Amino acid sequence: MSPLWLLLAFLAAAVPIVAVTTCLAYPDDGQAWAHFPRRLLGFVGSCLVLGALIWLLQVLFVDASW
Amino acid sequence: MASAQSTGRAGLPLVAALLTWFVPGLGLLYLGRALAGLLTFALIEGLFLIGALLARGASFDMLDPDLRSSAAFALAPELGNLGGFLWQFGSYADPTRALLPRLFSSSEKLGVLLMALSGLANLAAISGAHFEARRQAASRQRSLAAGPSPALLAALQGLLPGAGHIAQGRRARGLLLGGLLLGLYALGLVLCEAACLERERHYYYWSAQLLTGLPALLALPFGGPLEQAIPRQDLGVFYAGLAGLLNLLTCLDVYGFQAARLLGQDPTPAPKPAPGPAAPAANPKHLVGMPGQGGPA
Repeated sequence: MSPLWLLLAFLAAAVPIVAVTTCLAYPDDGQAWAHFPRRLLGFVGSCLVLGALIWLLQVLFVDASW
Repeated sequence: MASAQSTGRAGLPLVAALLTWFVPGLGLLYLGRALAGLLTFALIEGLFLIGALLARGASFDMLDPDLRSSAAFALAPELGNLGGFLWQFGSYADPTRALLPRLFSSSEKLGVLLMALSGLANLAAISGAHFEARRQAASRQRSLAAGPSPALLAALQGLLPGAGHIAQGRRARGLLLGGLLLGLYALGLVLCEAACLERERHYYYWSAQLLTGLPALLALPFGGPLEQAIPRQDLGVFYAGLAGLLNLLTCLDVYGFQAARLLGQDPTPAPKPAPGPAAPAANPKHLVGMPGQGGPA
């Protein structure tokens, strides 16, 4: 799977998740729209940190020969 | 059973919800709405009974033997109708049959679908009974606005993503969320070549994608092949299931907004101010005596 395909596949799920949860958090449309970019960045950042952590654990404890 | 209204007390929302969970319509009966309660009972239990007869109680046989556990039933939509669920389990439980996975006939599939829909319809009835108890209690203190029940609008949203929002007059939100969720569901169906529509193959994903509502029901006859290998199947069933689960969250948004509106509360409350430095005093000392500041003469 190419990196571009991976990014698109991730965003296809991430955007609806953040849109729905932002609408749930802010019943007013204006507020929801204003907070959407910050929440999307927060979600993407959290996923990146979690992915990096999983990769690190794999390198340290699964792939390591010691 | 003496209804809450006949004893002069307001019915408790939690009791009304729990009673409806066990027996559809019983919560409304408890709240003094006998006719509505009986109609709810006939509709939801009738759907379940027809489904159980068609499927001969086979819905849980569709669960892969490797995935079976006592907790697995908690994720089946049939559990929304607890009374029907327990009756089905008691009437049809057969450990020898449950260990034999097989392909299911079209009438059995239809029966399983009707039982699942009965569970989902009872979820709407539970939330309707809960709100009715809150509405009755609030109407004793003040006059309330009229309008469609929050449970009804949430059910509409469950049937078609975005429709509940649009019925509330929140058109932009409805179109945006409806478009996103329907697009995600369609993308999932294409990627998994409709494999998520077969409960024998994807028991849990089938339940999740069913929450997309009418689009899932319309797509069901086009269920994918059971034996063919599908390259992007995992991603596809994930997207389709995610669309259904997110639609359940949008139902909560519709329900909360409408409940607040009917109970006379502000449906779009201002967010709480972020904690920070203390706000300046309304009448600070350096302004005392200035025109319009109301200081001592």
